[in-house]
Amino acid sequence: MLILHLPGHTEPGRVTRHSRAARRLRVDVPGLRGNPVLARRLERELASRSKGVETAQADPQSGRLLIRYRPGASLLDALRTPEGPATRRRAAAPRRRRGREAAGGAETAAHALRVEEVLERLGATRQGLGEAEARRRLRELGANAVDGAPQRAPLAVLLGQVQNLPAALLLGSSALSALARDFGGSAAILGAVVLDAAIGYRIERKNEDLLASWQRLEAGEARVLRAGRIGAVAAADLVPGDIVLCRSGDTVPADARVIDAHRLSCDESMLTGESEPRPKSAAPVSPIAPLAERASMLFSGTRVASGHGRAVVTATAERTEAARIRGLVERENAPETPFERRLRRLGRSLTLAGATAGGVALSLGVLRGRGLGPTLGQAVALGVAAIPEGLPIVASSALVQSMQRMREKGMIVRRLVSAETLGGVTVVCADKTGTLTQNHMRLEVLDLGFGELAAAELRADPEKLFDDPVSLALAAAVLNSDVDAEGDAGVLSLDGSSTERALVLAAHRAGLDRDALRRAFPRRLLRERDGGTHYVVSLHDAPGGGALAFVKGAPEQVVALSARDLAGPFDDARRRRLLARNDELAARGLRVLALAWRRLAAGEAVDLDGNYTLIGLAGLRDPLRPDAVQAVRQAARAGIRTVILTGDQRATAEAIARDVGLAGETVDGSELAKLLRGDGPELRARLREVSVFARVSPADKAALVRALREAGEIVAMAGDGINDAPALKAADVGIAVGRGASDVSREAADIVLASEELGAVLAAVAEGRIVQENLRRAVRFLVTTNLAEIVLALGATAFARTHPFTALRLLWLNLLSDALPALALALEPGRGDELERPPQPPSAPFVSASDWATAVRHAGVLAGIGAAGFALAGGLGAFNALTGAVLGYSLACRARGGPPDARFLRMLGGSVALHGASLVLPPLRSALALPRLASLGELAAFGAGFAAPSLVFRGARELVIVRRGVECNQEDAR
Amino acid sequence: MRFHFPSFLIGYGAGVTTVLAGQYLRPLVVEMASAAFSLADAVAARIAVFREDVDDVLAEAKARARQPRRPKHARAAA
Repeated sequence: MLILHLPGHTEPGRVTRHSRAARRLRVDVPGLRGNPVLARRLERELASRSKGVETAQADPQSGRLLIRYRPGASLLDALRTPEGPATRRRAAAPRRRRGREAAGGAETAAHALRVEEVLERLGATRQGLGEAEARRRLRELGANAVDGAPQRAPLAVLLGQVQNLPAALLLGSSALSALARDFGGSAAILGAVVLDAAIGYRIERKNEDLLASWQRLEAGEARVLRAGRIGAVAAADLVPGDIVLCRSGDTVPADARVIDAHRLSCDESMLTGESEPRPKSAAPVSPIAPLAERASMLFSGTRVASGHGRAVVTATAERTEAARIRGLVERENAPETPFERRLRRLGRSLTLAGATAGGVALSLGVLRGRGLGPTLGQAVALGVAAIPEGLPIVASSALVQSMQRMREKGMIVRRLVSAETLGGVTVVCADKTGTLTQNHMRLEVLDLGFGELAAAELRADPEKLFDDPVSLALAAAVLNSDVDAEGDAGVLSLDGSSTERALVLAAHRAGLDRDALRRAFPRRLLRERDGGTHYVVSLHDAPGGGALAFVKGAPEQVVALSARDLAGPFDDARRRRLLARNDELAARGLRVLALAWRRLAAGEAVDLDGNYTLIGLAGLRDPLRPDAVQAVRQAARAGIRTVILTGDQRATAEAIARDVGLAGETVDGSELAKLLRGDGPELRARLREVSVFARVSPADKAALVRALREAGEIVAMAGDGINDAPALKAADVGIAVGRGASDVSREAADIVLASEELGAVLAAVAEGRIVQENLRRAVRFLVTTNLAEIVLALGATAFARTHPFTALRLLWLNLLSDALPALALALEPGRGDELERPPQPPSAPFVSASDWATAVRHAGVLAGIGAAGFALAGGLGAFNALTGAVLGYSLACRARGGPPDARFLRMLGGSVALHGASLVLPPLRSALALPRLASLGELAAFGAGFAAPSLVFRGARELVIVRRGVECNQEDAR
Repeated sequence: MRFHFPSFLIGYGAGVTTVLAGQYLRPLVVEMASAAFSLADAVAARIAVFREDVDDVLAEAKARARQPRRPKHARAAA
């Protein structure tokens, strides 16, 4: 194959035919098809710039170019054979590459280049890009967002609506009607299928649009250095050349080259499959290093496991490594959910019932010697009667309605059916941080050996740092902390670990200037915690020569490093008293840190492992949320067990549990591992007794959630951290809580809540219970009314000479008279006492065995009302009586007593109006083959039918209530 | 002309249905129309390519037919 580089066009053309005899070249030009502007430009450029070209004709329709040339044309020298795949790739995308290079893109081999080379290639500096340049690059390269799975094509969505068993039965019925020469009936049944499909299509499209808009809302932010200033920038607005700041817990927003790293390591398991975090550094690595060994690169979507650092963005959006992998993952289909499975099973049962009833009707007709046409008509009618054509509409509408209701309350449902699953939750697992506590560590007390000092009482004197114990303690805390601070004296914005931020903030409030301290005592060294070392050591230059060392960390180890405290040298009794004091503070749920210091004379050997002076103990706490206690009590009333899963210490977790009123045992990580190795009944019994799991790792959390599920619980996991993500994924319903929830946790969750309080989680559960109960009630209503139609139709086939229903009349009943009240039942607002009773058993189907028995009983009553109408006023009487009975029955099926609400009445009124229209409008009447209203009795049948169920079922219900003395939720419509 | 109520209802119903259903089914209509246009473009392109291929073959044949024939001995010497 030959290629030809064309003047004025970036991509080479492929020569499809070259005739030397005719001196003609036919060239296939990428991008020419449908582009007349390019066609004209190519013709012009070739005619003016290529020697020896006689004519050039570009056809935008075929996308090809015809060049006629003279002998010895220079154009022939430009014909080339492609050099190989790499050349072809370059040839295929030169425009994009140039765009990226113009904007400084340089992801190729960035891991193998030195930092300065990468910055130079990206046109960036260590101070970051200017705002104008960043905007320009964003315009040129587009947003740093990867499109999710593409929306299903509208045609596929539409076809999906008719690829199910009930639709197949209806289509079959339509064909049978056509065979029986009932073309009107056939068209109407077909119309019902189309109507169902159109409504389902509309709802599904609306859901997809809604979810797409929410996905946009879910975009996170990144801390970026632009023009020398740190600021939060939407991750979608990042461009190559931006300098991003990463710290432990962050999700990397784009592929980036490390500039500097402090104990920086990344969990890249989602990208490379390696479970251990990989250490990162600025040193370049081999150009041929595989992805997992590119220690100088951070990859989009991975998690910073420890430390902090800076990196320059090299690739964004679909050019990142993660986007390439995601592209493969998104081709997988989501598995069927339990809700969809239940709905499918119900559809299958009803279809089977319809087919059986149709078969029975056919047999009876043949046995009674009726003609094939009428018999076939009866069979079709029964098939139609069995299918609740309104069910898909009702179910989807209820779920969408709940989604919208939850959205108004700040709850984003990422999976439609999760709303229904929420209703059955029996255990809520919550990480205490943020859910029960405020997630803002605060210094609560300082103990310097002469009694407790509350944080609010602390006052520091910068002039007497080494004479005033409080000033010394706070200065030690500030100098020993690795916290980035921004802002002036009024507002301080801090970045760092929550403990260190709390200490620096307390010092700031007590009157110490962090920047002045750092200038006065420049840091020479910082030795971080490592393995068994649970303290941080920092070494600083002292103003008058020599050095100062500060230690901050676990009291047991810091006391061991110290030889004295502020009162004098240590003895064993003094050490024991200090450690007892530490235990006392920890038992109150405080996180305790010890502070110590020492001077090193100029020229003295630097030994940082002993001979310190203990300054005192600092007690920090993450305070309880104001509503935490009430929320835990409410969960207990709702039959939901609250379980705390935390990585925190046992004493801290126990203190929190005690404060919120959670009874039960506490188990820590090592005990949990043993517990999970136990077998079935013993494990289940233990899981029921334990309410606090302390010191648990992310893997432990997920294993525990799985164990709870295997024990038959429906588990909701609420969390916001990346360490919660595996458990969120493992739970029946994963709930990412709070606006600050990490991107990974939000991606793993089914529901995202704006608030992080436990109360918000319970509000979501209450919504789920409303949906669940409404759906069950609507399904029971539809099943009962359809059974009534089958019973009446079969009874008429067996015992009467004529038939009360045609297929069209039944279709009318199912689609309008039944579906509207069912929809009203599915959209009821709830009784407000959803959290005052236990959840439904996890395995309860839509229609249980006892529900079926009740449905058969009630269907018998409804069919009896229809039969009475048939006996007294003929076919029209039966139609009126059954429609009235169905509407009256819907009133008896409502969730709460008292008069129905306006929406219910509107829907009921709509059904009545439609029924009235079918009786008085001649075209409708003729389509439904209904005779003109001849007597008042026919109309009275509707009224009598409407009133009867209310009398029969409501009366029975009142009787039940009076006799039992309690209102039983399950007896609503029985 | 007599006012025929059923015809009025059918006409009115058709209008209302078009207005109400139109906005919901618009994406589907757009998708189907764009698929039809794509198909028409693809067919037109195929026809154009076929026409050009025929043109090329004829041009080649014509050029060969009209090429001055060189004597056999000259070809052999070459």
